[in-house]
Amino acid sequence: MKNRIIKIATLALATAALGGAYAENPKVIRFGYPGTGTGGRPYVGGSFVAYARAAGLLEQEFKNDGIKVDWTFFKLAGPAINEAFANKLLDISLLGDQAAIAGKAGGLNTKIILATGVRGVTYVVVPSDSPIQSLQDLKGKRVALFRGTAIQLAANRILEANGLSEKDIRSVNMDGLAAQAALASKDIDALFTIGSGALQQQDQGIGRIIYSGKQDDRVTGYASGLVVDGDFEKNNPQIVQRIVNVLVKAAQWSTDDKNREALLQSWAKSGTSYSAFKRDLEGQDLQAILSPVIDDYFRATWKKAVFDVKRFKFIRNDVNVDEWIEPKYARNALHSLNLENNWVRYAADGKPLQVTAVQEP
Amino acid sequence: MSKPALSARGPAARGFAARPFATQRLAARRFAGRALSAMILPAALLLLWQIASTRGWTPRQILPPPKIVWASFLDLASSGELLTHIKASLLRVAISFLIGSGAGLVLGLGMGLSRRVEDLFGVAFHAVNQVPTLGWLPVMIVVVGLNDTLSYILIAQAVFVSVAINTQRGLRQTPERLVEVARVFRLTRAQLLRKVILPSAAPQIFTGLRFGLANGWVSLVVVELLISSEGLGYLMSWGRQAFQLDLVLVAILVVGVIGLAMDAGLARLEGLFSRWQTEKRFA
Amino acid sequence: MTTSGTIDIRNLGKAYSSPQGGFQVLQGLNLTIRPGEFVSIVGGSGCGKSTLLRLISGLEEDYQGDIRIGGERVRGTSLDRGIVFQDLRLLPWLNAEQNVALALENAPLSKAEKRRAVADHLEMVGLERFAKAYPHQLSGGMSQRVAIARGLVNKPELLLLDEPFGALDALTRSHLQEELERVWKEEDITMVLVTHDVEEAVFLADRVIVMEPGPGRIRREVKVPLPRPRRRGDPRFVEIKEDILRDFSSSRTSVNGYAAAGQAAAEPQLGWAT
Repeated sequence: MKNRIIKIATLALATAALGGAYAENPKVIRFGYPGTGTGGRPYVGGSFVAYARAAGLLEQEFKNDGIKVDWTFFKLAGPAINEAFANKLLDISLLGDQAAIAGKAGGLNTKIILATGVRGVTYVVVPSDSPIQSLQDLKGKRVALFRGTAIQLAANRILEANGLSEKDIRSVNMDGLAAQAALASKDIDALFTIGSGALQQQDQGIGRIIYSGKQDDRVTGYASGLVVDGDFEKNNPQIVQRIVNVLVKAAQWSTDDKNREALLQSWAKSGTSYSAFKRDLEGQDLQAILSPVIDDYFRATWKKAVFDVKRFKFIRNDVNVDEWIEPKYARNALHSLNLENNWVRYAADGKPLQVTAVQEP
Repeated sequence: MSKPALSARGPAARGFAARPFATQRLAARRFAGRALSAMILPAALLLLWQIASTRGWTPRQILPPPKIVWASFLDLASSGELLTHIKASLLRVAISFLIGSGAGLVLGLGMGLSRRVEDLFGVAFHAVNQVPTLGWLPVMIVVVGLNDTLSYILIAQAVFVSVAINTQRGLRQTPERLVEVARVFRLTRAQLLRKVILPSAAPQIFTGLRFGLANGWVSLVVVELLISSEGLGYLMSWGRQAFQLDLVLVAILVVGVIGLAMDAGLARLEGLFSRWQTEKRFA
Repeated sequence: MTTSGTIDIRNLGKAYSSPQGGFQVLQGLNLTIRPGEFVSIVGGSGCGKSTLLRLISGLEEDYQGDIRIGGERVRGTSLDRGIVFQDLRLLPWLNAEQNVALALENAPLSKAEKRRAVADHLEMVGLERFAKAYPHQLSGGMSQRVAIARGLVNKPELLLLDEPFGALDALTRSHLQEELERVWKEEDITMVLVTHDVEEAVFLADRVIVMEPGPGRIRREVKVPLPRPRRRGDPRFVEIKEDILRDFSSSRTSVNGYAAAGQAAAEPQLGWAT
């Protein structure tokens, strides 16, 4: 009799605890980001998420709820973020295409809930006094690329578009900062890199850019997205919606041309110079490359990425992009913020759609 | 000369006559027993691994279940990819091992046999050894650069250190009582070396070679993680980068098996050189 | 074959220095051994009997006084002087045959002669069937016979034996003692046997040298004028044995505290039969 009472009481308690946990907000949002600032500093550049971080927008949003935002900047980027997701150490993260696809193909329960960038630019940098002039000259050379990240996918596409493959070069796996140091010390003959670091090296006289992906972004441009842990998303849909709302607002601010200077200044907290960011974005349409909208081009970019990643044998299982992308948070945010027409939408082939012919994502 | 009567009747002699056969059978049984007990731990680990993955103690992306790893192994093996990696690693190790063990033997012999050589190199050598092989990596990267030479140097160094130390130690440990025997029979220095010192040091030298090989194999993996685009170390690093931890496990298992096989090979070679020693070990 | 010279030891002294100061092992020792003679040296531990043997062999060269063999002062080891160590010292990586052959490395013989000599000597000690056996495969008694064959294969003038049978069981030991006596007669060489075992000493020797410690010196010599082969139960044999053993019990009291401080192992054994 006594036993039974105890059992029932325990059950009731457990139920209450579980139910409570379910309803209660998390105490912390564990936010990941691939890469760190110079020397490991906890700021980055190149995205509206980086701006939101620098401006503390998410922290402000959740301050009154007593929810902390715990940022982790992964020096080892995407591959390390996948491991963190697998070990349930991360709730949400920005992630480049190849790593996100590898994680999904490996069975991670993730969802893509927001676009954070398309048409990403990859550069090939050589030491400034190097005789290397073109991609063809890379044959047999020691070239750094960051395996398992969007850089490797982009590099393979670039090489392929120029009649080469990764087998033609002697590739060395290095994270972004290590590769920059190795180029400076000439331990490597060239490096594939993304973002402003390449321009900073050029500014410093260390490196010379022999290839820029700006010309052929449709072939070689990479994408990134906001990836959320499936369980976190299921248990905290309101929190996820609020995160997306904040980030969409940040995207609006970031892609407003009058804020360009301020945006670049906020990115410079990462340690990469303002001018490097400026040159990186020179001639780029921020509205297009930093759009948070999940449009046909975003989907098409990811589908192409899955196709290529598989073709280059970086994954062995398939990934269904349409099931993977969960567009409702982005849609709600655009709707509630009245930003549905703020960004041009692009068709799968990358051409802009008429603003009047808005296609619901 | 009259035949001694006791050759066949002493208790000791009787004992000996019965011995070789009994010893062989016993040794065979012991060997089987040992092989069996050697399997207990790996089998237990395999079981633990299986349980851990079915019970979900670790995410299956981090520790893929044995079945998946086995499938990946077959996959890699049948595509020929695994063989390419194995070949690349073996070649790297073989060349480095030859260089490292050759140099290690020379220095070890020198330091073990000549006080002057020991005085000349000993302090520097032992000072250098205070730093683990892989501790030299950052310095070596700067000096040599990130290239194949670096891999050969690092692996060879790992072998070299172990072989040199053990060779010197083995030579120094020659029992004085056996050196006295050589003096009684007025052996020359060369004879002393060939008949007494080297055989006496052989087990220790082989220990050095085996440890050297094991160290070299470890360095190989580290070096390949860093600079190579083929080889088992590369496969590990790639598996991790590509979030295919099954590849990492396949590479780990292959490295383990090859390491064991090479060690067993050296043990056999050692057996050829010092039969008396190996027989005793199994007896 | 008896061309060996007389061993002439005059006023021999030997000291070891240690951090704690010098230690006199032998002092004022005089001994003459005739060619072909069998001499046993007995004494408790610390009397310097093993050291004396090592000095005669030439393994130790730093001493006071004089050791001459056939008038020549001993300088270093010589193939003319064989030695059988207490701990055998067979090389474990060589089989019986190779161990014996080691003694012939620098003998002035052809390869065939060497092979022949090795085979002969293994046969002499009854081990021809075990020529290929390694030391760890041999029993204690067989190993000891390999060591004796190795000591003899050079046909030395003199064979020095340092407690060669100490580690053997009683039965094997008595067999080997008979064996050794036979070899001594056959080869007609000088033998000097150091032993703990008074009975062994009396059984084998023409003359037993009794040593005493502190510092090591000769206490007295006992002639054994018994015909060979000797019988251990012979009253005269027993009498000589008892006589020598009495020396030990008296030396125990006369030598101040030295022997008394020694352990049981330091005492001379009463022979295998007791």
